[in-house]
Amino acid sequence: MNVLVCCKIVPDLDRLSESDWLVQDHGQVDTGFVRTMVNPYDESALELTLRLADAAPARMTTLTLGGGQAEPFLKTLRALGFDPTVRIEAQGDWRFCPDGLAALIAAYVQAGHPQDLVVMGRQSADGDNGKTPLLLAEALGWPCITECIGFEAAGPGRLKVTSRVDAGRQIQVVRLPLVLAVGNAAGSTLRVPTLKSRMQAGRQRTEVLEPALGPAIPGFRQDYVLERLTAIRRRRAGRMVTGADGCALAQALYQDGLKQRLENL
Amino acid sequence: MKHVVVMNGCAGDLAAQARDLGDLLGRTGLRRQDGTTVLLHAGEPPLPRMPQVPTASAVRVRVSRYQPEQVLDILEELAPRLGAGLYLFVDDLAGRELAVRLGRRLGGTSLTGVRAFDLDGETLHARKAVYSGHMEATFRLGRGPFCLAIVRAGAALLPADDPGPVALLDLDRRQAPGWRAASACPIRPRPGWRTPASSWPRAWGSRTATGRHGWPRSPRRSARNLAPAGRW
Repeated sequence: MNVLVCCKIVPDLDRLSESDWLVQDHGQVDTGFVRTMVNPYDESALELTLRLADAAPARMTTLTLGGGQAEPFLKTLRALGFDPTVRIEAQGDWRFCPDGLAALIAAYVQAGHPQDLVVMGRQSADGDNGKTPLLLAEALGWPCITECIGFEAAGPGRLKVTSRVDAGRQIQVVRLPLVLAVGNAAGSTLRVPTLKSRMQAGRQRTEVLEPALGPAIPGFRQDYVLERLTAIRRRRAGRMVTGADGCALAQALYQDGLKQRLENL
Repeated sequence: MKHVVVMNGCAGDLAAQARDLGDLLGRTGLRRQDGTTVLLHAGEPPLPRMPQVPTASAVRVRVSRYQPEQVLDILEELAPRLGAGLYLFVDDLAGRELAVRLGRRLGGTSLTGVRAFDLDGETLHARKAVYSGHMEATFRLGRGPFCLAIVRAGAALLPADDPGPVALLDLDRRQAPGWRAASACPIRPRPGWRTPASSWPRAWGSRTATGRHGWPRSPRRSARNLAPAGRW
C-alpha cells in the first residue's frame, strides 16, 4: 500500500503573547520569530500512518511545502520510516491558499507518484481553512473521510476507518484510494526515533521539487483573497448584577442572564 | 440574491440549525421569499410534519443515511433548478464538508467557519477566525455561487407563529447506491447521550448497535449479522 502523508510546518502560536498579535504592513502577522513545529493534526496523521505500517506493509511518503526550515522535521520523519520525504520549494504566502495546496498535492500524485491513500490533518494552525483535504478529494475524484481518529488495514485494497460524525462515531470499511482528514485523535503524539535511525536518516536527502506557482499548477484557482486582519478581543463583556441580598442577586442573575438561554436550549 | 439553506436532519438538531441560520439570514437582509431550504432526513417513518425552516420554500430529501457523496450528488442535481447564488450550511462536521465540496463542484467559492458576511453586488465579504482563533480575517469572495459554512451563534428560536414553507417538494433518494463504503456499521452515539434509544443499559456489549436506530440488539444477533459482511 502506498501512503502519502502531507504535513505542514507551522509556528507554535501558543508561544505568542497578546502584544505579538500585530498586523504588519503587508497585512499578515509576523510569526517568523516563533519556534516551528509540525501542525498538530498532521502530527496525528503521521503517527496513525506509522501504526498502519506497523501492522501491514506500507510505503510511506511524506510531502510538505516550504523552505529549508522544514529539513529538521523531515529528517526526523525519515528516521521514523518515511521514505522518500519530499519538499516542494514554494515561495510566497500559502497560509490562505488551500486551493493551491490541494492542486499541488493532486499534481504530485498524478505526476507519476500513484498513491492508495493520502492522509493529512484536517486544518492547519495558522490558516484555519479546513479545506485542503476536501478540495484534494474533489481534484482527484476520490472519496474523503473527515474527522478521522483511527484507521487500520482491512484486507487487500480496503481500510477500516473510525471517524467522528455529528451524531457520534462511525466505523466504515472503505475501498481505496481514499483521502483521510485526521481530526482530534486521542493519544496520537508522534513517536520519537532512536538515535541510530536518526543518524542513518541523516545520510539520506530530501527530494526537493521545483517551485510551481499559480497557473503552473493544473486546476489551481484562488477565488478568495484576504482583505483585512484584525485582532480578536479576548475580553468578555461583563455586567454587574446588583441586589440587596443573595436571594435578590440570584433572582436577578436568573432573570437577566439565564432564563432566556435556558428557554432556548 | 436567491439563496439555499441546507439543513441536515440526520444530525438530530434541526431546530437549532433552523434558528441559527434564520437568525443569520435576518441579520444579512436576505429576503425569506428568495430562499429555499433543502432538508435532508433519514427518518423511518418519514418526518410526520415539516419542521420550521427559515425560508419560504423547501425541498425535503429522504436519504437512507447521511453519506456526503450522495448528498453532494443530490445538491448538484438540484442546483440548476434552484438557481441560487448563495448556499448556506451550518458549520458542523457535515456542513463544512458539504460547503467546500459543493463549492468546488459548482465552480464557485467556499469558506468555512464564517461568522458574518455582507453582499456587495456580485461580491461577498465574509469574516472568519484564523490563526487558531487569535485573529479575524475578512475575505473577499469573487466567484459565485458562494458556499458558506456558518458558525453557530446560539440564536433565539424562530417565532411560534412562523408560517412554515409555502412550497414543498418531496424527493426520495433512499435507493441511491453508496459507492464509497464497502460496508459501514451504525453510528455509535457519544457515551452519555440521553436519547430515548440509548437510555437503556449499555451492558449489552460495546459493539452492540444501539443509538438512534432502534432498540438495542443482542450481541449474538449483531455478531451474526455483521460477521459475514466482514465488518468487524
